[in-house]
Amino acid sequence: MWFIIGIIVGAAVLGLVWALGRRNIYLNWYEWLVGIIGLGLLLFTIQNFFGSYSELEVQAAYMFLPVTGLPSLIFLGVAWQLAAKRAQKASQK
Amino acid sequence: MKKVHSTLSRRDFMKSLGLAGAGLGAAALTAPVFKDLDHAVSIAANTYKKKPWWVNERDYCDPTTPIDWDIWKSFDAAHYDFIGGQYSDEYLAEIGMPSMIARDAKNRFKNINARLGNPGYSMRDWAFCQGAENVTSAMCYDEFDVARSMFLGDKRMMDMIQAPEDIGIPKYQGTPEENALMLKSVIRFFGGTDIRCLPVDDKTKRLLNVGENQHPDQPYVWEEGITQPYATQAKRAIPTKDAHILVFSYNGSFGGTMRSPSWISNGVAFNQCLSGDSIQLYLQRFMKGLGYWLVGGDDFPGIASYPAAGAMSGLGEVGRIGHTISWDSWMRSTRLMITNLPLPTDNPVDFGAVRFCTNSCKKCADCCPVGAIKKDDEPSWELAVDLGNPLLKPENFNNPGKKTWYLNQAGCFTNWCLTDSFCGICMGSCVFNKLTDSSVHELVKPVVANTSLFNSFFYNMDKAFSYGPLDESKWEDWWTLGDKMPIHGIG
Repeated sequence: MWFIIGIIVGAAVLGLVWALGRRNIYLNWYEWLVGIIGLGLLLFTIQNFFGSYSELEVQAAYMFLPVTGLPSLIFLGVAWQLAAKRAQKASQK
Repeated sequence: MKKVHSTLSRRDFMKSLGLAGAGLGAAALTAPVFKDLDHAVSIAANTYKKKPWWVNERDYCDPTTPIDWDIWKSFDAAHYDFIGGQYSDEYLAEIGMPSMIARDAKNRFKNINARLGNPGYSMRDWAFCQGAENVTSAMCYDEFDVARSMFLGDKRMMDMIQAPEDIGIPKYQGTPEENALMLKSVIRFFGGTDIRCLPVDDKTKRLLNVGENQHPDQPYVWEEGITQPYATQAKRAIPTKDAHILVFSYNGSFGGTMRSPSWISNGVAFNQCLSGDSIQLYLQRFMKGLGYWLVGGDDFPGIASYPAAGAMSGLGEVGRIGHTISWDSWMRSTRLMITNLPLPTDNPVDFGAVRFCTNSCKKCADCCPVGAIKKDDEPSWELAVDLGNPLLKPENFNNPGKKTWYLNQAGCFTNWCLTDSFCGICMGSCVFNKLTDSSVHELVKPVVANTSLFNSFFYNMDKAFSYGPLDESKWEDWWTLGDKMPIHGIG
């Protein structure tokens, strides 16, 4: 499973970099940082969700979704919005 | 002809190749590379005791459970008793005796009939409890035809094995580290998990019990001037010459223990003891085949204080719960044996378990239905106390001289009576009782090992995430696991 997730994440990151480059959008270091933290938290959430199920800890599995899953989506959203707003400002100039 | 241009530039292509190469190089760095065969052997010889970087080694015989060497001595397990005289006859008659101890059909009918049909107390669960019972020890007889005698191994089973001198070949020779790695390999084949070793000296001799209550007339005696252990009807003699202590660990079923208290967890607890007995017996036969002797104890209470042996040898720490808590997965059973095979010396370890139990965590004590586990913040030298029971004799089951949370084993036993099981709620509840599928545990454990700052936070998160024994409604799922049931239930 993790092999496939790794391939998907790798392809997604490569695709993101290619798409950003195509539109001449370049991320700042802090946008990268927030995005990487968000992605890390998302992968952490997925791993612990399935891992907790394997450990017979079903309630713990569902607790990971709001506790770490939600912040991961927030981080990814913030990174996206920071870049989008900056690109929008640049295109208006 | 129309030219088709790729959107991937040469620069980007070379950059990708470089990244892929760097990744392969990083992967190669993690793979072991042997310069030659001696190098490979020396690496192998030192890897019998792998542990993560955050498990710290302490000084010899200085476990995280402080010991008063002026007081702590061998425990007289010949008089080990957490039942007799600990409660009034009226109270014992009221709560009854568990079916595994009072085996007559009349008592069992009363216990079983009252519970049949409840989760964990189905007909299948009862049959499992009976079927899984530890039978290895019942098959072991000594030369006097006394049953449940495992000191030298079962006589017939040991007589099947020819020692090297019987065949006329030299016995096996190896360095202490090679021997430890060899034993770890064979113990894991036989069903165990890990080993540690100790020398035999004034301090480690105190780990051994004076005797055992199944054979109280055969105390363990260290003897100079003999080269082979032997048993008479008056003693079990162990040579001091070339003697070393071997402590091995073995698991029980996590899934079964999470169904405590029930006949399922009973069967699991029984079977765990069986595992230890079987490993012991196979090891004794293996050791004879190498040309060495290996002695051990009977199935219960055993030749030594096994949790103390686990802590002293570095297999774990003894926390509030009174069991050996291991760092890598849930708590393990440990067992001590003595041999003349040369073995190295191991030290106790510290990964923050006792610190966690001190001040931050009382989960096992809070979950104990009968209050048998102390709720004091700090460990103490005081034996088990029960203010509501003036008859309590803790000296019959607690060995003084350690600063710990002494278990009220008699109190624990009352819950065995009330639930017709060996209980086990404490083990299912322990914060350290975790499998290794979730990566969050690998983040928490190094932090707990290195600082106690976040202990309260981790304890509260453990409660918030509802870690602990399975809800009763899931207990009977045990019988529908099929392929998902781990081998021996150990997962």
